[in-house]
Amino acid sequence: MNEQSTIQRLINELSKLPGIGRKTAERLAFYLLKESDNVGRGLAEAILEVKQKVKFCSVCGNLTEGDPCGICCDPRRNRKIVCVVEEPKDIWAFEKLRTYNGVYHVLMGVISPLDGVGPEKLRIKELLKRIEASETEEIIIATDPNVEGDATALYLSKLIKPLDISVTRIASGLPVGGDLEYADSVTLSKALSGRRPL
Amino acid sequence: MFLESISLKNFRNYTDVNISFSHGTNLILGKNGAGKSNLLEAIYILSTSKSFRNAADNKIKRWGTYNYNVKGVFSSENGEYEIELSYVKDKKRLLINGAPEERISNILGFAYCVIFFFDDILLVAGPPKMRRSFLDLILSTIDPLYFEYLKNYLSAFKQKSRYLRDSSSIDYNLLKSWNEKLVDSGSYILHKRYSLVRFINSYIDKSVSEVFGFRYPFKVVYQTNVPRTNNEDSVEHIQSSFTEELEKNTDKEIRVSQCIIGPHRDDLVFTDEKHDVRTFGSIGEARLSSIILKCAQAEFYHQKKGIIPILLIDDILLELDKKNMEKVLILIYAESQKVITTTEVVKLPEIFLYDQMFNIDEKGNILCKGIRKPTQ
Ligand SMILES: Nc1ncnc2c1ncn2[C@@H]1O[C@H](COP(=O)(O)OP(=O)(O)OP(=O)(O)O)[C@@H](O)[C@H]1O
Ligand SMILES: [Mg+2]
Ligand SMILES: [Zn+2]
Repeated sequence: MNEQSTIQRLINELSKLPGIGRKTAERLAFYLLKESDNVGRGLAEAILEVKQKVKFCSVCGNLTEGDPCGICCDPRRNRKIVCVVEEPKDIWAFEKLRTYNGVYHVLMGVISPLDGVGPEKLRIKELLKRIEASETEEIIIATDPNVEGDATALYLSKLIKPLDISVTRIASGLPVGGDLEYADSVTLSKALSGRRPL
Repeated sequence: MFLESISLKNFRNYTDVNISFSHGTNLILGKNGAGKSNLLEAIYILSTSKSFRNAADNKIKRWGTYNYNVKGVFSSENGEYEIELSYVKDKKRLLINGAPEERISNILGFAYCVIFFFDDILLVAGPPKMRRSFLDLILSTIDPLYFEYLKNYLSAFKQKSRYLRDSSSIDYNLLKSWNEKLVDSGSYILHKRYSLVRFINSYIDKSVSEVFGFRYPFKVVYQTNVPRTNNEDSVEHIQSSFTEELEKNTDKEIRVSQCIIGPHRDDLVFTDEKHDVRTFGSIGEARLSSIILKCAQAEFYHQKKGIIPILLIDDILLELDKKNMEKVLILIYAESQKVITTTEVVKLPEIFLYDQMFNIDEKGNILCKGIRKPTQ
C-alpha cells in the first residue's frame, strides 16, 4: 500500500462517521498527520478500548463496562418504575436531572416502517419478559415527542396495559416534533413530572 | 400590513435593486418578459418562503450566479419587521429582524400577502391537491399548530402507507397506533378546514352577493370520506367519526395496501348547487370563482388576525369582462396595499387609480415615476 492509499483509507474511514463529509474527513486526516504521534495514537487507542470494554447492559441496554450496568445493580434504585427510552444517550439526559430514581429500558430505536424498523427489531420482547419476571408497577415511555416516538409509545401501551401495569407518557412542555436529546433539563424534568396516562 | 421596501440581489433577472413602495396602489409597468412577475415573486417569497410559480430555488437565482438574497421591510400596527431570505450554497437561510431562524417555515405569519395570478384558475379547474394546498397555506399562516399537525399527519400517513405496503402480516396493535396518530392530527386539520370553508361560504353569501347586487350563485363544498358530524366545532366529534371510519375500513385498507380514509384525499368543489363549475363553468366564471377564493383568503386574514394583507395582482383581472372586473376591484379592499402588474396602462378600467408607478425597462432597470393619479 503506498502513502496515497494509506491516507485515502483513513479519509474513507473518517468520512463514514455521522456528520463528517469528505472535506472534513480530509481536514482531520491531514491534521492527524501533521500533529505529534501522541494525538493519533491516543485517539486510536481510545477507540479500540471503548469497543473492547464498553458493552450493552443485558438487562436494560445501557452502555456499560460491567454487566449488568451500574444503574441496574444499584440497590437504591426503584425497580418498580421503568423508563423506556430510544437510545442509551437518552439515559444520560435523565441521569443529569438527578431526580429520577427508577430504572431504564433502552429500545435501541423507534418503530419506523420507512426505515425498515418494525417492533421485532427493537428490544420490546426483552421489555415484556422483564415486566413479567419482576415487580414492575409503572412504565414511563420517554420516546421522542414526534410521530414515530408517539406511535411507538401507543403500541407499547397496547401491549403492556393488559398486564395490569400503569403506562404513562412524558409529554408536556417538550417541543412537538422535537428530540429528547436536545431538551434542556428544566423542560425534561417538567415533562417527567407532568407525565400522563396513555 | 404594508411593504415599505424590498431589495433583491441576483434574484431572477435582477442583479441588485432597491424599491420603496407606496402604501396605496403600486402599478408595475413593463413589456412581456421585463420582470414584472419576478418582482411579485420576490415579495411573495418573503411571505411563504416559496415561489407562487412553484419554482425551485436554483431556477430563481440569477442565471450564472450561485446565491440570491431578498430583503423586505414590512410594517403593521405591531411594528416593523425586516425579513431576509437568502439562498446560499444550495441552502435557504432566514433572518427575521437580523436574527437567524432555525426553521424556514417560521417565516409564516409575518408578512401577510395574497397573490392573484394566472394559475389561480387551477384552484377551480386543477387537481384536488391544489385546493388542499390552498386551504393548508391559509391555515398554516394564521395557526402554527395547524402547520405542526399537518407535518405530523404527513409523517404518520407516509409511515402507515409504507407499513401497509411492506408487511406480509399486519399487527393490528401497530396499525391502530398509526391510526391514532392520523386521527390525532387529521381531526384538527378537518376541524380547521371545515371552519375555513364555512367562512368562505358566508363571505360569498354576504360580501360577494352585496357587491354583485344579487345572491351570488356559487358555493364551496368540502368533500371528505370522513363522515361529517352534526357538531363540527368539536374536535372530539370529528375524532370519533374518523376513528370509526378507519376501523370500518381496516380490512379494505389492508387488502389494497393503501391509506384510504383521511383528509389526504379531500377536495373542495365549487358548485351552483346543481352543477360543478369545473365541468360546466365558462373560463370567465371559473376565473371569477378563483378570484373570489383569493378575496376570501384576504378577508379571512383580516377577520382572524386583524391584518389587511398586501395584495399582489399579476395581470389576471384582464381575463374578466369589464363589468366583472369593476366588481372585483370593489370587492378588493380599498385600504389594502396593492402591487399590480400590467403591460399597458390603457388596458385598465377607468375606475382604476394608482399612487405610484414603476416602469421596468428591457434591462431590468426599475424607474419610479413618482405619485400620479389618472383623471377619471
Ligand atoms: N433565473 C433567472 N435569471 C435571469 N433571468 C431570468 C431568470 N428566470 C427568468 N428570467 C428572465 O425573466 C423573464 C421573465 O420575467 P417575468 O416572468 O417577470 O416577465 P413579466 O414581466 O411578468 O412578463 P409577462 O408580461 O410576459 O408576464 C424571462 O424573460 C427570463 O429571461
Ligand atoms: Mg408575468
Ligand atoms: Zn442496565
